Amino acid sequence: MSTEQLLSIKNLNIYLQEHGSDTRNQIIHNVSFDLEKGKVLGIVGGSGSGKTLTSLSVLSLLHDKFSVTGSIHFNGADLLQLPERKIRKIRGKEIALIPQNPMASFNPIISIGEHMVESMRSHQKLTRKIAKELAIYYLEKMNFADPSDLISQYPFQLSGGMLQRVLIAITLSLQPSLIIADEPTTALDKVTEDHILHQLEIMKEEYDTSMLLVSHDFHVVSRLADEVAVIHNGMLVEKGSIVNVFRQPNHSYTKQLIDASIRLKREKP
Amino acid sequence: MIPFIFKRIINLIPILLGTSIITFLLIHLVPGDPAEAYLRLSQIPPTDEAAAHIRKELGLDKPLYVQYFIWLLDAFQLDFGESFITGDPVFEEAIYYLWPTLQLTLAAIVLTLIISVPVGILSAVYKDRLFDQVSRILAYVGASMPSFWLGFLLIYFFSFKLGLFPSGSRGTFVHIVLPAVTMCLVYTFTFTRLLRSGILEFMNQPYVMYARSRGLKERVVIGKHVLKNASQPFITAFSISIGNMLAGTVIAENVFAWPGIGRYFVSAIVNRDFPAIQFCVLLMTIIFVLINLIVDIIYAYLDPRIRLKGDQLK
Ligand SMILES: Nc1ncnc2c1ncn2[C@@H]1O[C@H](COP(=O)(O)OP(=O)(O)OP(=O)(O)O)[C@@H](O)[C@H]1O
Ligand SMILES: [Mg+2]
Repeated sequence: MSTEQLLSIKNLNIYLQEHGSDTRNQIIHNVSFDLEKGKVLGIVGGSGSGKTLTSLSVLSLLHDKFSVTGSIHFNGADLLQLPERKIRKIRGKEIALIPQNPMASFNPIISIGEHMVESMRSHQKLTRKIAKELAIYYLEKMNFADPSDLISQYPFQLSGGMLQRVLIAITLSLQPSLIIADEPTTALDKVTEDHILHQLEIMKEEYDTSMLLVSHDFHVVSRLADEVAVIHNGMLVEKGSIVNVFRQPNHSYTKQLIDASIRLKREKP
Repeated sequence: MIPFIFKRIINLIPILLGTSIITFLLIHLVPGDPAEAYLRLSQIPPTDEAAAHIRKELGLDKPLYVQYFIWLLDAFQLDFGESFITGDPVFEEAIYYLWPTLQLTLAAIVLTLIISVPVGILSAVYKDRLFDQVSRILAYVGASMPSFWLGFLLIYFFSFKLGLFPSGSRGTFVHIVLPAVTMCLVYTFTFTRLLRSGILEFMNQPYVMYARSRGLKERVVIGKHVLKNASQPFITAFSISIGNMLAGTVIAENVFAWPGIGRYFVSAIVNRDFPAIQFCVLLMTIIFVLINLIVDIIYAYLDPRIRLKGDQLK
């Protein structure tokens, strides 16, 4: 393999030990994969297969009942060895997360605008006023009709699909080199899904952003991804270029996932 | 925000009227004749003739609802009658005694906040570490100590043994230290633990994780995303306790010979000084509803879901 990898995960193991319990369960088993700069890697797997845990471990965001071994190299440095102080500078600025559940990811008592402003201002020296103008600019990019009104609204006043688009606007505003998008289209209608995938495509092309695209839906992944990794029960069962895996899945679980996504596509034209 | 506050103030009127009617009824329906109490306190032999005379003079011969309306009309002019004991207007007397009590309560509140907020935050941040352990043990000890006993302990050590603070009465700043500490200590420990558990609960919210994932400083994550949400149960508990604190001043007032409204109220009850009792109850109600009003305003300020309610939901 080439050394031009942006992200390189090797032998990742994640264990869970509940507080006060002395049994330790392994949830992620020896997962390894690489992501080249400018490429999109799809991570596909069923519910509970460990996609979210793997994504969060990249940014050291797991609750301390989880312990992680292995290595996660990003731009040459092992993220698992970095002190919190340095990881904080990478979060958002270098690697931005689009979390799985938009409804729960916004602080209910903080306005949409403030969410955006605080994110930008934690990495750049910006006045409040300029950050606000930038927020409006990025919301416009996400095709919001009235961004200057939107920034003074609160999360409970927006629908799930709108919040999902705000999540992407926040990510846009941070201009990271790697995006981890955790199920960015789940629970959305087909039109919104299409819109969001389109925005992610633009981000990839316009800003040359690399991406880990997490989904249980092969169809979603196939639209954007160059390569795909299939996770099943915390184990990586298959990886390869999207075309190859789609044409010739080796693992029966991969076949099931592909069949499921094709069936879904037929049912919802 | 302004209409919200206005609506809340309008809501207070029936509450205050209701309380005044209930206290009025309670006082007048409870066995014991006000006229007799008046005569006893004025040391006049309670003959039937004298009682009838006084009844007429105090308006006690009129039907109850007439008496209430007379009281209410006078009340609008801040005339709440004269004390049976001193003969002075109860309004002036009660306000005179209220001030030291407010002073004491305020000092205790400030002291409670100054200690419990930072200690609560630190106990959450350093969960299960030494700092948290020590604060937990102190909380158990502090919360199980009766405040009068604590008061005597403080007097014994700091006043009697060390001579650092005066043991009683009111005067300069140093006089307030021991009674305020006595009042606040129980609350300080409970609130510390309450704030800690609130913070820990909100620490695991997905939006806190998302805040961290955007690279916000830990100070901002805790102060803005956790604390603002975690402060709401804290404020609720705190507002309830301010009432308890006010009521609890009576202990500190007695132990430290602090001339407050608690002692005034108790002596009014013991002596059946009806006008004083009626006004004290009303005064306490007013203070309680005002505290509630302030708390509601703070809630609305902190939480847009309350402030903007009616915007979207019916
Ligand atoms: N907070 C947690 N506490 C305990 N166990 C957890 C926790 N989060 C996840 N797990 C366990 O880890 C496993 C992987 O969870 P993860 O959230 O990574 O799945 P996922 O692939 O993202 O699923 P989904 O598609 O439903 O989001 C699950 O089987 C779950 O039981
Ligand atoms: Mg998930």
